[in-house]
Amino acid sequence: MGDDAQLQSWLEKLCAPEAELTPLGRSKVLSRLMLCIQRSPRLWRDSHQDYAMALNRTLVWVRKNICTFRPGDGPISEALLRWVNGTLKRRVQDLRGSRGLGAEDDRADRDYRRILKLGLGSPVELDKPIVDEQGHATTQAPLAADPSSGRSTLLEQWIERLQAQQQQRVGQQVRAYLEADPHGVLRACRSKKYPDCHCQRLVQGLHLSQPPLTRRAIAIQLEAKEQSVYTHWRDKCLPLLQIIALRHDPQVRDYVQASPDREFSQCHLAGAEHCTCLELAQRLLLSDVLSPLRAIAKELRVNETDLVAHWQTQCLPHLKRHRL
Amino acid sequence: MTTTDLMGIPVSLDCDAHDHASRLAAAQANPAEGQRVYLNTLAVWAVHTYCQWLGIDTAPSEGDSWQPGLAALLDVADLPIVGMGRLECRPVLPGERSFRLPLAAMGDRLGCVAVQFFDTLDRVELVGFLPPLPAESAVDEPITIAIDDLLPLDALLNALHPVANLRQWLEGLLDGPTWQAPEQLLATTRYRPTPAAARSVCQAKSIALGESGQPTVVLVVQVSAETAAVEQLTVRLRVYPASSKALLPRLRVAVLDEWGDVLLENQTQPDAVYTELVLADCQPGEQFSVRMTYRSLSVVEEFMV
Repeated sequence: MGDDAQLQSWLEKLCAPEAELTPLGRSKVLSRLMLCIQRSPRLWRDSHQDYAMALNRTLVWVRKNICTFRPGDGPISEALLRWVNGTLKRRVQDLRGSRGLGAEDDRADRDYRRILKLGLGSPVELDKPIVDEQGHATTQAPLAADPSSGRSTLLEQWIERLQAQQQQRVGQQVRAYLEADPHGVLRACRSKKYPDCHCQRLVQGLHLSQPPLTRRAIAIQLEAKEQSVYTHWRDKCLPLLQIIALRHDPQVRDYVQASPDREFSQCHLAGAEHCTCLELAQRLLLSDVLSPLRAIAKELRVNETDLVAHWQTQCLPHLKRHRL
Repeated sequence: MTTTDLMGIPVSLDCDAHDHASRLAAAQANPAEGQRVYLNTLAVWAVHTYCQWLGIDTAPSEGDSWQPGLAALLDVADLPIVGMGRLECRPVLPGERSFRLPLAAMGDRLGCVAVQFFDTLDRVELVGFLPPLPAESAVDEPITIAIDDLLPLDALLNALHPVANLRQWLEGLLDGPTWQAPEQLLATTRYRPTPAAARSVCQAKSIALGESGQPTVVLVVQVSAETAAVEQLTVRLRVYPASSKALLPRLRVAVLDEWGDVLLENQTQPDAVYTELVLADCQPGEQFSVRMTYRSLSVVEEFMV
């Protein structure tokens, strides 16, 4: 740990009765304090699966309670780590209790160098031991290429198994939809000035092709200005992609179908009480074929730009928040 | 100080982080996409965790990277900071000293935090901060950023606590309407500008010293540079009573450095029209705050040079 005089100075700054520190200064001092705590050899460490969560919660607790810390006699660094370790151990015990782990499970966790995936199949060992010809065991890192399988990493192999267990894969469905553009929605969203500059072409070039094309390369292909390509992508295609992604997300669809809360149902565009987030979400996410925003604005008799802004700033954040 | 530079902050990755990352990865089209999403999610989670330690409000679920459908397409690892905007949190693979910043991760960001991974996935380190690229930079393809070129995480904290930037004032980027020309807040009989250097700008802000009925003062900040080429700035701080008929209340005015240490201090004199403190040779990147204490109340204004 850093020298005690430094620690003493930080504590004085953090807990000065006249609040010497600005919020920015406070964050900087707290960050250094937390860095010191984590680098200290006196910090209690454990391989229990809940240790990381307990440590993170303890550091939040340190921020809130640092001014109740009383160093007493002796080196301040030792007292601080005793104080932190006491809370950290209690939090591990609390988490262990809340998971219902008994002593037997706990012993098994002692050597835990695995990441357990609850609800996604059996626990998987992500850093499996490799035994060489001489019988020496080493551990393979999850992000290193697995020599036995060619190029893929252990993490990729494990994710492949997770993916195989999924009945629906939103990401896969979205990519397939964008590739095919079955209802022509992406192709219909085109630049007025450059008709060949449409969202399907841009998403294909920028994200689906390998390697992806640059905006400049696409602009040259389309004989369009690069800035026009970029603006069309940012203002028209990205919002459309967000809608397409949500349309394929069963959690979001379920939420919209199940009469969401009043805030969402009643949040409407200023001056257009009928243009609520729920109304927009139903039209955009639950319809058989995605209608362009322009068409929806026309049907609801509101300005398209206002409708898009309302969707982006009010409705979309609510849907995203609700999702997980 | 033993840890002057704020770099290499360890963050432990808990079961919830892995559980969430695995759910997003499982929804992807193939294992390689799944691994990309997995690491992006852990990087976002790590920066979110650091913000939680410090009490900085985040809204990870509002980010594009938290949506399985969008994560499939956009290589983004965005973390919304409540009321501020989005941070990008880029994974750095074990043993690597650089990372790739995709185009989709460059626009409308407050900056980028690099998150170093190791051979085990139980912890990462936040190794530095990349400020937002200038709006005029015509980047057309992913760029590679070296870890050695990043700023310490103090720069991240600066970005998350925006304060009046005095150098930007000199460049014409004023913090209106909070800060205004002094003539708009003070009677010309009372306020006389100090003779200006080659480059100089003067801004003022009205500050209430408590509830209604308590005095209000005006803080006037004049920033000047001797020549256009000189980077050091001189900052002249004056506190006036807001009313042209009033005298200054009994105030203690102090200039503090970013660690809260007092650099300059002044106590108003009876019958004073204003009180003044002058900071000379202010270096780029330096931060200071002005604290005005009236009875038991303190008001603080923060600045960056």
